[in-house]
Amino acid sequence: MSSLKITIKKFFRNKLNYLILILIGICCAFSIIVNSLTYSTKEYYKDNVLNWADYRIFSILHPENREKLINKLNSMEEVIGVFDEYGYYTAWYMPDIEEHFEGKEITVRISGVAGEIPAVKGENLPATDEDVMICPITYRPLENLLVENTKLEFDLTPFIGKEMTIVPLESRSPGKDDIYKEFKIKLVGLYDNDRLNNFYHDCYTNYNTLAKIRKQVTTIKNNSHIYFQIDDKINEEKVISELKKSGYFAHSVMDIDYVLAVDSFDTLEYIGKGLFIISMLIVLCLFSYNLFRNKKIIKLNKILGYSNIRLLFNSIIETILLFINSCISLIIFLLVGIHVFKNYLPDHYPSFKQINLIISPLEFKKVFIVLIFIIAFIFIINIISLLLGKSNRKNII
Amino acid sequence: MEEKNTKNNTLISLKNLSKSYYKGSKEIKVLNNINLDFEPGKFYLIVGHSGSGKSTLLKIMGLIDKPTNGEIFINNNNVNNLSDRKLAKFRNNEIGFVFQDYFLDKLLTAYENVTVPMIINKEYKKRKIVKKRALELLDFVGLKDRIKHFPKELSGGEEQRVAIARALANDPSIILADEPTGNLDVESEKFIFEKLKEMSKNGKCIIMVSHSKDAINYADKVLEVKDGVIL
Repeated sequence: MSSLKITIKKFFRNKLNYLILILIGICCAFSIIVNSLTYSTKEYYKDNVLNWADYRIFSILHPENREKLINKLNSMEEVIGVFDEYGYYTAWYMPDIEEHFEGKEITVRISGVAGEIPAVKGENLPATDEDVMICPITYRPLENLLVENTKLEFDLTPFIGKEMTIVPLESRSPGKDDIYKEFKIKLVGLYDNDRLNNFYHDCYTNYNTLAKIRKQVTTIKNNSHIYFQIDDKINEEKVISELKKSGYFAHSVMDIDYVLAVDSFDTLEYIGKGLFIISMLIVLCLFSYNLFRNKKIIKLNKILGYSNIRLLFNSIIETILLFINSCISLIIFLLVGIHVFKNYLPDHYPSFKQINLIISPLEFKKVFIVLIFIIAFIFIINIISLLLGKSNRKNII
Repeated sequence: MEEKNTKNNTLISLKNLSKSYYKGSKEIKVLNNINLDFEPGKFYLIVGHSGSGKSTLLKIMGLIDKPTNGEIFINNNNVNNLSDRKLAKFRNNEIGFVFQDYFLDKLLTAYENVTVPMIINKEYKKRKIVKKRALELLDFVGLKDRIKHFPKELSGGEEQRVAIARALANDPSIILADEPTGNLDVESEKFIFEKLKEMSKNGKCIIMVSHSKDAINYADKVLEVKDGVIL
């Protein structure tokens, strides 16, 4: 039996060490998961929600020189479509599905967009003007409040590939039957609005298609807006500032409600950081308590003949053991945490279903640095305890 | 060069030993001009009231504390000016300690506690030798069947027996026992005294501080300390 073996045995037999390791593991893993979750959510919103067509559409009101602005926008490579009120959006009746809602008038909003919209069922909405539209996979009528006690959601799958009738809202107004008009537009596919947690009654078509239809129905008197769509949300700042330099003030047409979600994660992040600090303080207190509880054993070891260097060596071994086992504990709790996040949380909190937890290497690095500081501090406490053992060894009798 | 004591057959020799503490500017004399010789194979009992200086005397003989004045010779070697490292080595080789509170390492088994002084001592390099010696010592104190037990699984008497086995681990010539039966019942006390007596008969110098009335029956020589002097 060597001194090293004894030190290792003592480390693993000390129940307080397990408590310390569990605390380190839990608080470090919690910190990494919470921070990664915030990071993942932000990334998710950035990649999915924020890049959704509606969030990439901007408007400029009353431009001084309309033609000049359109030319300017068309010259910008980040801008993929420029249109006016005709191509923006409007509400329509969808008589084809009214029978499923007790004959109530069911409306849908059709928005004009530039670029392709991917489908989860059927085909993508093409970037070209082709008299087709794409609708949400989870459709809820715009006027759903009119339909009490009925199923609010409707599956549009059977209509994929079929021509659907759309009727402008104005033509169904009382006394306007003489101007009743209906149009046919093919539903090519359904997009995934569940991951967006929004757009339950929004169908999309090419902005030229929409403008073409609307011009047959109505004349917009105050057509003062210019709308444009950019290729990626990442270019928002660049495009807006460039337009600003030219004297145009562009605004996003859609409020971004992601802030609320990210804010709640920020709160969680603060709680995580708070818990992390408190847990680390508890770890330090427990370790100090452990050392001072064993002060007599340290004194005894000196009386029995341990040299200071030997005790220091034991102390280094203990610190290394603590560090290695802290890392193991961290990995175990991290795996448990990821397992819980992936298999348990989405069942109870559906909003987590879409988020792919990305463990950020930066979080690992941060926690690792803190861990090294804690272990170094524990090592210093160890040395202090050795010195106390040295100075007080005569008090053992 | 270490100074040599001239007396033969003396294991520990204390020459004009004094120990004082300072409380502020006031000097408190704990031991005053002690001259004592301890021989191997003898059982010494140190008695005295609380605060008389007997524990301080034991600490100084155990090289745990240093005297203010005077000299200590162990095996004819002056140990007054040894370095901390040499003192540690000296304690490990020459002195076995038995404390009132046993001071066993609670995280080690009875067997492992006995091996600690041998592990510190570089002469015991082979595991087999350490094991053999530890088992022999635990057998000597009647605990061969409890080698894997932790201190919390042992009675007070058994813990003290482990402490005695540990004190004998490196076969030291001196055993210093400070109130070894202070926390024990009569039966355990008798066992401990008998073992200490047996050890003295085997050539060890046993120096014990005790308040027990029965201790005197085992001692070869009784030293009474009063107000820092030997009566």
